[in-house]
Formats: sequence, structure tokens, C-alpha cells
Amino acid sequence: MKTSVIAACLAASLFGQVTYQRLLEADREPGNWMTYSGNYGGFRHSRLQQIHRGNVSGLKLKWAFQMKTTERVQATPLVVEGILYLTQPPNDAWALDAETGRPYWHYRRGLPERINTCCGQVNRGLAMLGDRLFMGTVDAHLVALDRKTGNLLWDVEVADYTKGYSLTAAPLVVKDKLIVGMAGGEYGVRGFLDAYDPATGKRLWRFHTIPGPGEPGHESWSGQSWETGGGPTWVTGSFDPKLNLVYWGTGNPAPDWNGDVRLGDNLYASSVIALDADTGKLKWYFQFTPHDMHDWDAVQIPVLVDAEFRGRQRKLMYWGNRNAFFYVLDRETGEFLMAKPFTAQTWAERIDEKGRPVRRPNTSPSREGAVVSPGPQGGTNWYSPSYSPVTKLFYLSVWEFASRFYIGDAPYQPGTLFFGSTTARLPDQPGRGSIRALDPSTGEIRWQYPLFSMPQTGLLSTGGNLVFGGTEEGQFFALDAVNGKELWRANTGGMIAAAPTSYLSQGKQLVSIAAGSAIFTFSLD
Amino acid sequence: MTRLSRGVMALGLSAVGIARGQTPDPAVGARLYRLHCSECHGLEGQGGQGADLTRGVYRFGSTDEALYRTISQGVTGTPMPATALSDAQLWQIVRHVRLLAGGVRVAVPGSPAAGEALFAGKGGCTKCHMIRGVGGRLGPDLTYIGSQRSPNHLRASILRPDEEVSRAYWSVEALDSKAQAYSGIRVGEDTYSIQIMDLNEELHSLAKGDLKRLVVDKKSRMPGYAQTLTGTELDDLVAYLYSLERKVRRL
Repeated sequence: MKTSVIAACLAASLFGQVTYQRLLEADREPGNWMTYSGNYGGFRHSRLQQIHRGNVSGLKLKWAFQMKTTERVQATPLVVEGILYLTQPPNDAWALDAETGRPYWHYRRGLPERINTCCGQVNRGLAMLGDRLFMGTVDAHLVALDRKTGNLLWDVEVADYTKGYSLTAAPLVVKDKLIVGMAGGEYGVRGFLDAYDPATGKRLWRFHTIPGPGEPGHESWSGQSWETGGGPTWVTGSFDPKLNLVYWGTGNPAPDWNGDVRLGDNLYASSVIALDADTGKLKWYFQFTPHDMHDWDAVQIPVLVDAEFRGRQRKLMYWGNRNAFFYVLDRETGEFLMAKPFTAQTWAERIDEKGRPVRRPNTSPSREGAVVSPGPQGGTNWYSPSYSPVTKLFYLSVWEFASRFYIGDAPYQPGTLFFGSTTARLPDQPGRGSIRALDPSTGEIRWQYPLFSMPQTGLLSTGGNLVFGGTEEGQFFALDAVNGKELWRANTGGMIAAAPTSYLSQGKQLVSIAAGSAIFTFSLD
Repeated sequence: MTRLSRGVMALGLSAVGIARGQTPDPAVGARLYRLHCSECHGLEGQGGQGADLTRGVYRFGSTDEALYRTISQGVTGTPMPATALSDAQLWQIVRHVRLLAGGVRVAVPGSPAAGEALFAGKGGCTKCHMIRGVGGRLGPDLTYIGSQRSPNHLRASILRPDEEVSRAYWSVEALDSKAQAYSGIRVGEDTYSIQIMDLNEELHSLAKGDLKRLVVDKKSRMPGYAQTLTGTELDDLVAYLYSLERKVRRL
């Protein structure tokens, strides 16, 4: 009796709050969506099964919410106990009733006039702990908001936005810390990954993705090039609580297309880094693209799966990389296990037994322009992949195209683009897209759903054996997770450049997707 | 070096920027444009992820001052970023954008009046091209083409139309499940449907799932005129098209 009263009080006071314990066990409450990727393993998989292959054809619009922006909406909403928390680019935030789409509050943030972002003033979402929401801003601040009112609780400067630093990724709550990545790889920044105290905004550690003098890896940069070496951390990573490791992808070395001014492997750009969650110390790294000259950021979501690999049970990491290869790594040690191309590529002869690419000749950017597949946007990009523990398949958005890469000068001027020349698409070869399902034990393509345009959608797999995603032109679709057959689609009329989520409202499963400047929510009735 | 910039540079530069005490240096402007703008706007300003800069008319203002402001501050709500480039550098870029848009006029041989007669007569151009509301729809509207393309570019397009065909003018042949055939240009397409203007200028939207055959040819429907026109006639036609200027209003 007494216990149940206490339990009831605790439940009441914690209702709507997200604790670290709940994040650890996120898979046990599929009615909520509490982190960017849905769980620490980066699965973007919903265990909900109400909507399934047999009834998805009856999916209908439940509500739409129009935002006041012309920026690309790339955000994933968080959903906790029937409330959606989402960002409106650049850095506004909303709390919406999941049942009606009606707002509870709107946080507005004023921004300085000159913002340095390469690719739009975008934002990919919030993190939540307790009664607080956290957002990075395009002027490189980190803010904490009250989840019931949207009131600003604190606001700290993470870096100097006038030098090209910005924050676009959703932060990740790990234990009692907030892990925060930054953007700016096109501005010659020096990349880092930070941890902050959610209570105060005090910085707890910083890991520089470009090692400074005296640090291991520093020798992989010629001259002073490390100072403007890039290596940003602009997409949310993953976390293994048992190993206490935070995994995060790093972006391109800067300047993007002139490797001559930064000779060497350029560590730890275009890599995955594994950091001790408490100290931010590097446990291991794996560089997918040493001395990257094609802007192939390794800013994909690390997908953490425990599975048998070649006859042995292992803690694995699956990674569909922008350089067109699908990788399997051992996430305890960083050991390279396998790589296989998942789309057209012309730059690597093969990946050797250590995981290092053997480059083909004439694929480096040149004065005349070297034609290489994939182009600078890659074989895939930051678009969330999905892993289904039901089908045990890895789903990702795929681009198939080539570009011409030019080398050029790379004068560094703070607060201006630092590309080191340019690239050009081939006008008569617009490329094509697809959604592909890979068997992660072999990298084989199990099925593909061809698309006219190259997609920017993230993917969601569900317990109902569906894969949700969208097209560049705004069609939102549901595929059979087993064979890729299209089962349903709806035209939202706006570009889909975000990832879907699924959750419960009043006991019913809903699916939400941002498209154009709105968010659309679908249900069966 | 491109055929557009070659033509322009040979004839020197206009007064843009000079009024502000700048030394006009085409090499500086071209280099800055390439480093900071071309990734989105294309090496020749033809557009891509960013707007087509060759039109000479811009959504956020077409005066030098407006261009300067847009380049410097970016456009909120779009991927166009602000920049910390210096004043002098920004004016060099403004001037280069003017060059890309044909804003620097050059002298061309030929008679515009004779070219206009050819356009409507022997050339048969009005069948597919509209000028100030008169003409066909199967090719681009040429009302302001003189502000959008250099004379060299115009000449090349007339002689070799397949060399550079906008995706909105690729040829389409389709056959639907009722054996109805469609022939025309592709005005739009996605994974599930294709939008066509047929040779009678009627618009159709066809579900791909309902098509028995669909062939998209990246070629232009325009004939090449190398065999049809004399050298003088070609000069006249280019002179006419180049005279089709858009006067920029000062805002």
C-alpha cells in the first residue's frame, strides 16, 4: 500500500520527464521517442506494431503543423507522454500536443545578422533530460529550455560563430552529461566534441578532433594546416553504456578539395571516434577516408548491434559511409572487419585488410576536373539509416551520381568559405536515388526501392515490418521491410529532408515526418 | 576558361565598381567567385543548388548595391550564407556576377533587324520560342535572352543545340496502357509520374505505373542551324537575340 502510494507520487512527479534510466531502456517504451535516433544504439527503429504491412494502406493524415520558416526542416521531434518537442529552423522550438498538433508553447530566438553556415541555417532537433530541453544554435550557442513553458534556463557560448562555427546537430544526453557536436567544416574551423553539465551549461570536457602539437595524430597534418583542419561533428552520435564509450562521426578535413595544403592522413577527420563518456579521452578511432579530398564527411549515425560476425558473437558497429562503402567494425577495439560498396563508386580499387582504401589513379581533384563517383554529397550522407532487430537488415538512403572535382587555391580568411576550389555536377547525368536494404553480415544489397531523385530522407523501420521514408519531391512512403515493396504513400508537397518518427498518442500509433516547412502526422483512424 | 568568360574578358570591363574607386580586376573577381560562389551557383553562374545568376535580375534586388548586400549578408531562410569577405572583395564578386549575366555589353557584327526577320521567317524559330508573348512554347522564352547569354553562347546554341540542354527541355516519348502515344518535352518528373508538354503544346501528367514505354532523350528538339544559315545570317540572328535586353529597374 505504502509502496504503491510512493510509486504513484514518483510516477506523477516524473511524468513527462526523461531520466537517464529511461534513456538506457528506451526500447522498453516504444510509445515515446526520447533521443534523436530513438535509442543509444542509433537504430531509428520503433517497436510499435499497430501499423503493419496488413493495414498501412489505410494510413491517413491526422494533423499537419505549419512552421514559419523557409529553411529546410531537418529535425526529428522528441515525443514524451503525448507531447512533441521540435525545432523550427534556425533556432525556434515548439511543444505540440501529439493528438491535435496544437501548440503548448513557442520559443523564439533572435540571431545575429551574419551567420556562417555552409548549407542553410538548419537544426536537427533537441535533447531532453529531466524537465529540460537542449538545443544547439547556428550562432554556436547551447541553450536549455523548460519543457513545460519553453522558457530559457541558460545560454552558453560554445564557440565563435564569426569564425564559422555553428551548432546544427541534436545534442545527446549521456548519463549526467550533454554531448554536443559542432559544424563548420567548410570554414576552416578546428573541430571538437564537447560535454556540458545539463544543470548549468558548464563545459566538462572537450575533445579536439584535430590533434594539437604534441598530441598523437598531429603528425598527420603538414605545417600549420591542423589549425584550420575542419573535422566537425555535425550529426548526433551513439553511446554504449556497458563500454562507457561515446561514438561520433567526424566531417571532412578543410579545405575540402585541396589536399595539397594539408598533406598527411589528416586525423581524425572523416573518421569515427570512440571517447570515454566520463573524460572525453580517445579510446580508439577508425578513419574511413584518410586524406579525404572529396568532402566525404563520416557524419553518419553509428549503429551499434551485438551479433554474430563470421561465427563469433561480437559488439559491432555498422556504418553506411558517405564514401560509398558499408563498414562493419568491432566497437570495443575499433578493429576493421569488413567493407563493401553499397552504391556506384570509382575512387577505390578496394579496401585493404586494415580498412584502408586503395585509391584508383586520377581520382584526386585536378585543374581539369576529375570525374569521380560518388560526388561530394556522397553515396549517402547525414540522412539517418535504420536498423531493424526484426529483419536484421540495415536500411539507408542512397545516391548514385558523379561529379567533377577541381583543385584550386585555398586562401584561409576567417568567416568565409574555405573550399579549396569547387565541384560541378555533370549536367546530362543528374544521377538517381534509391532506398536500399543491406544484409549487414555480408554487405549484400537485399532489395532496393528506386527513386527518381537522390533522397535526403532519413529512414524509420518498425515492429510492424515497415520502412518509412520520403522523396525529394515530397512523397512520404511505407515499404515492406522484408522485400522493399511499396505499400502506401502520400504527397506532402514539400521536400523531405528529415527522418520519420513513431510513437503513441492516447494508445494509438502515429508516424510523423517533416516535409517542406511543416510537420505531418499520420494515423490509421 | 569558358566560352562565356573568354568573350567577355577580351572586351574588358564595365564601369561597375570603378565608381567606388576599385581597380577592376577580372582575374580577382573570377577567382573569388570560383572559391566562394561556384559550388552552388555553378562555374558559369548557371545555377544548381543556388539560383541562376545569368538572368541579370535577382529576387533580392538587382542593383549593384542590392547584389552587394545579398552577397555580404546572405539570404535568411535559404542556404545562401553571409560572408566575412572584405568590401573590396565583395565588389569584385558583384562585378563578376554582372559579367556572368552578360551585364557587360560587347559589340557584335550583324544586323538585329535582319535577324528579327530571320527569326520569324527562314529560321522558323517562332514555332518553338516566344518573344514578348508571340511564338511557341516548346523552347525557352527568349524575351530577355540578350541579358542572359553572351553572343558566343547564343551562337553555339544555334549551331549545336544538343551541347547544353536544360533538363526542362529533354525529349520524351511515352506510350500508355491504352496505347495512347505522347511525344513532347519533359517539364517535370518524380519517382511516380512525369509531366509532359506534347508537340501541340498540351500539358499531360502521366502515372509511370500506367506506361508501357517511356523514353527520355537528353537531346534538344531544336535542329542545328550550321547547314541552314549562312555566316552573315548567323551574325544577324545573334545580333537580334543579343539585342533582346532586359533593362534593370533601379529599386
